[in-house]
Amino acid sequence: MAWSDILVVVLVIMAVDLLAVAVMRRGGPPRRPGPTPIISGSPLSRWERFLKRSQEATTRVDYLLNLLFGAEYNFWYFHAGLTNLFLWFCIATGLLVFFYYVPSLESAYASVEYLTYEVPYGQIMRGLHRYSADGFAIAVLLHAGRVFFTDRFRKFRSMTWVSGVVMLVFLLVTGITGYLLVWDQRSLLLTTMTHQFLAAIPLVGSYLAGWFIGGPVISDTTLSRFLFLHIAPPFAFMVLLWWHYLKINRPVIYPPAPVTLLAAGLVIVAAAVFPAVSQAPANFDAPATELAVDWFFLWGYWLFNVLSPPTLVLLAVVLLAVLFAVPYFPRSEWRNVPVVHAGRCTGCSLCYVDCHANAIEMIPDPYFTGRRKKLLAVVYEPKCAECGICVGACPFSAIEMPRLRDKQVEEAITGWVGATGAGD
Amino acid sequence: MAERRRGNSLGGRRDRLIGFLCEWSGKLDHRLGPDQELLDVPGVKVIKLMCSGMVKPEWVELALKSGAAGCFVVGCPRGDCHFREGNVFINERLLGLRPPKLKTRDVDPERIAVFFRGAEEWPELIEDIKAFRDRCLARAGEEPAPQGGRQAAATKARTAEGTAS
Repeated sequence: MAWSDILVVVLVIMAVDLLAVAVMRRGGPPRRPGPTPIISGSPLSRWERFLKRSQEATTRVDYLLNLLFGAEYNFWYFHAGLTNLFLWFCIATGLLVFFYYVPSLESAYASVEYLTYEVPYGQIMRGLHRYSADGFAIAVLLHAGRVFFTDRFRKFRSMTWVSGVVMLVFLLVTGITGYLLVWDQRSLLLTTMTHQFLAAIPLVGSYLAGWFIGGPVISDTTLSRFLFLHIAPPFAFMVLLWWHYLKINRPVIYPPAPVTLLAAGLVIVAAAVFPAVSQAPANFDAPATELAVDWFFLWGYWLFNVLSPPTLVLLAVVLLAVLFAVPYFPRSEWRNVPVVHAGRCTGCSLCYVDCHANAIEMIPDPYFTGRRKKLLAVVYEPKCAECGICVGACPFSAIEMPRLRDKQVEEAITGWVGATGAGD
Repeated sequence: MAERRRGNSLGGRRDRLIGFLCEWSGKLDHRLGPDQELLDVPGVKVIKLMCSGMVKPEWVELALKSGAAGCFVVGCPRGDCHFREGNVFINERLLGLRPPKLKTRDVDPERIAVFFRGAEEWPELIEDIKAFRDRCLARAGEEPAPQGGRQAAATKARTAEGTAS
């Protein structure tokens, strides 16, 4: 590692630290609620005010897109469903491509060429696989960006964000190994660069690099390893998606049919107009020195131009740490978790059904002394979104927001309208 | 019964409207007076909530029974509720499709509205509210003045006195 690299790393770490400290200080101590009773939500820190502004700006984009597509078919609203849709496109087309692939140094390139030029519709199938993967990456970027800029990644959603970051890493592994499997000049160069990157990891680097290529040198095992690394993450997605959906009640998994058809059509058109082709076969005697970068998956490799592998390792660690930490950035401590009046709760479960964050559990009422069993709603505070939907769902006023009680709202209504007639 | 259907059994001011505003939808903070009244449209008070899904149908009933000319709820655009389903829930509750349902027997449904507007759509939202207010006031003008609450009791007492004398 060169001294300049060390200096760059130290400067990056210092900048991140200073940024974190500045953000924490700007948050300030929690402020007290204002004197007006009809105020909901907690006072906002600067960080939260920034997120609020970005949320408002995003709704302007929504408004323009709604004028074009209508709210029902606005793809911007189905960013999560689109991600899932493209994942299934990749799996379906990947299965067909997989039937023709031979993971060996001698035959890998030839098998891909056979699929492309000999198998009927093979080129289209390969293109569909390639461009649905690009679509997947675009949808993930849209999804993550929208979730961030609409402030839907913190508090009760923090674990969903963390699971999303884990899936992002898996997505990159899948995408990069897809380029390695073709075994053309680009694959060889990417393999070399990835090997250097892994070898630069302290302590375990050499083992990881050896594991990556399946031994001390590139051999047939290497491509079997790449095939495993390409296929295993999509299967892991099945578990990770469960984790991702765990705290969401009734997740929107797929976009509506017109958006699905539009997405499928775009992928088909891209596959037909820009056919996916390989570069020259991998040549150990004359390896490529330049890389055609796919900006969706291979952007990290461009950084090899300016940074050494150890620096890149540190950069990756810092980037991941920031991504994992983002939802836990400081926030005001004022919480407004609903409280349940056990005496009024009839155990009807309406709040339990309507809670979108799975924060309400129905338990056997420990206070109920009657013969028949009765349920009682219990709010699990860490999961609670403090949205008050449960309050709207309760016909018995058994659940209330402590900082905005039903009585306050009712007094505000009658006070304004002048129900007693005194104000007329 | 006719009195109940008009939804003003408690009397009150008939030129006033109540609005429930989701904190994440139409940004009206800068258009509100000290008593949370809307500066652009006279007679409209806004009650801010975290989500439109928090609105109880009984609050809407209370507003109309108290004599409000109308009551509206503002939620995020359809398909984009900040809390995922709050705007859908309140819409369904007011339409009587989801419990707890609005008791439409007791109130005039024409004086209830749900607007789906994003934070940056506040100019459009104000136009919506203006049009809704005009509609409500026109509808209220077709009906006799409210006689309820203390006023009604006082009138009844005066009438009884007059009759007695």
